[in-house]
Amino acid sequence: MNRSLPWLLVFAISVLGCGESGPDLAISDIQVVAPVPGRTASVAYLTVHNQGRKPAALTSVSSSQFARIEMHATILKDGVARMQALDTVIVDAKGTVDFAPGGRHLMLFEPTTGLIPGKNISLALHFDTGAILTVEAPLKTRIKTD
Amino acid sequence: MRLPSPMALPEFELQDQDGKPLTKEWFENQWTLVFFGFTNCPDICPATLQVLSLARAQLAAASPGGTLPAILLVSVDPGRDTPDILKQYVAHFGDGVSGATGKLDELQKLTKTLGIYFAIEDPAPDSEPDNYNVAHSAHVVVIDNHGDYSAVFSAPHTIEAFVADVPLLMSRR
Repeated sequence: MNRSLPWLLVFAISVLGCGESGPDLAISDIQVVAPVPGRTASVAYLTVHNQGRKPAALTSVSSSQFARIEMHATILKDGVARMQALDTVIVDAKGTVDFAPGGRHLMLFEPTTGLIPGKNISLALHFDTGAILTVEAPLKTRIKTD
Repeated sequence: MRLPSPMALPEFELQDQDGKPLTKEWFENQWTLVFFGFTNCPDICPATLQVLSLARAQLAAASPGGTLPAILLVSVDPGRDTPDILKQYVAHFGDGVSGATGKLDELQKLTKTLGIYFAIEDPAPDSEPDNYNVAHSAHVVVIDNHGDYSAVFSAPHTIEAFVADVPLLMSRR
């Protein structure tokens, strides 16, 4: 997957006055890919950065543009690919976690509006710290060669 | 990885994206890169087809008018992937990409010979009956112009590996 988008850093927003103080969590390299025509699930990839001193757990992702978003991972073991649903994704202190092709990914189901290539898709990433990071990226299509 | 000696395909019958029979004769007189997956797969299947189609495009650009490999997606999810769905799906990946599927026992005749594993998993609890995943081998199988299984590419796949190695394979038989 060609990560042509520049880094998009979004800083944590503390919710309800609880959670880490300061900008500890950030998101970069977000890509949202439309389903192949005839299919229904869009997919999103991104990188989560935790610059804090404690681990943070990504617990869910939501969007007003999709009724349901799930976190999954493609597990490749002994040459066999399986999908595994993820309830939470831990980001270690001073660590990063990638959602990238062939690995973790977000599946975006039941769009509430039309999926128009180039239109911004907004995702809210919810953490156990109370932080909610909102990111946007234009919808891309899988590359068609002709 | 090239096999020590090419292996003949078994007798089997699938259906292509137009609903026409696809048997081992389909593979003769062309080189084919075969991937086993399913169209509801959001990640590794479209990503692999994208790699294969981009590699094919680079081979075409490097050798205008030269012989190019065909690409075949065999769906191991015949319950959801009808020929019509396959036709719409493979069309997105450009010329030279075909699709096929068939009854499970016919699929198994082919996958067993090619060392391909697949398993249709149960739906998650409390989800719709057709909301299930399919575990499947991720490697790409090479069928040569004699219609024999002759090489395999292991995942993870890169455009560069296919662009470098497919011409070498095609030049050796």
